[in-house]
Amino acid sequence: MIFTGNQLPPQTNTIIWIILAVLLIGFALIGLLGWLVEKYMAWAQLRVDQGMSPLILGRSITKPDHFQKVAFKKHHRLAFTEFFYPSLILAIALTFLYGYMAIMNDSNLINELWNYVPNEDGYARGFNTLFFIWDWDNISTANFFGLTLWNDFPTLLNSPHFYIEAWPSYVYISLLIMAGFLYTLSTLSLFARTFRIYAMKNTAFTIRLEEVSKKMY
Amino acid sequence: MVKIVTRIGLGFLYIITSPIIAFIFGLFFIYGLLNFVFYAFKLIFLFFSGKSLTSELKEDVDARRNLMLMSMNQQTQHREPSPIQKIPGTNS
Repeated sequence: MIFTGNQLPPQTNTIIWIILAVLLIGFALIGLLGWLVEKYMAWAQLRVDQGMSPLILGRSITKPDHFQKVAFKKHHRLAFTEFFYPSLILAIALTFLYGYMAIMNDSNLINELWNYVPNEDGYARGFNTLFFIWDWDNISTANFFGLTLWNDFPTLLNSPHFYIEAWPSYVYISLLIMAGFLYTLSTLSLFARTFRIYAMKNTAFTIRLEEVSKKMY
Repeated sequence: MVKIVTRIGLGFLYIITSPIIAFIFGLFFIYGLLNFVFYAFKLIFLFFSGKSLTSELKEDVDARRNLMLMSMNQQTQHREPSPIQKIPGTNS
């Protein structure tokens, strides 16, 4: 069968529209995430301005190289304090996990941190018990214009439920997520400030003729 | 509408460049961790030598002093001379 122009079967058309809609929504969500990251980085860059503008106004820094040296010193101190809190949370999480395993004499917990399948005692002890888990590996597929695409919903393996026996996993993984989030924010602000320092190194001491003429006339 | 289309385009661009973004992010994460370890050791050293990491830099102190002097100079320049200081017979 040869397809030309608008002769695609209606089912195929629907699938194409659904794929396009999903892709566009995905791109829009990632674009929105990028916008949030841009806003956060712009805010993080202000710390360089806050720290360095009094030094330029007070004429204690008059050269670009001196500016860079002092700015990086302040920047590194700030980065240390920013990395301190997630590192502390990470240390608390690891101490909690290994302390719990040592006190309860339960070394199997580390292998069950993500487990959602109930064991022989009838309960699961992993963090994934709190989420929907689908069987993506064994999903049925169909051939579509040479592409292998999913053609059905995956089987549901787990629906969210709370096991009191899994509380150590809940606490440990929650702390890890918190530390990861704070590490991400700290790294983004480190990145933003580094670029701000290099960008402002020369421009902070450049006198623009337009500004001079605006002040004069 | 234009903003939404721009965001969708940027989202596509972020996906295309995600390996580069992840690589740069990883580099900065390592940089931050190394900085953290270095300053943790430095903090211990400073603690035993009676100093602190939060102490002001020499440039901060200089800038504050200069700003104070500048504001004092401005105040003295703008201050009107008192009637006692005026010399009789002059307009100034």
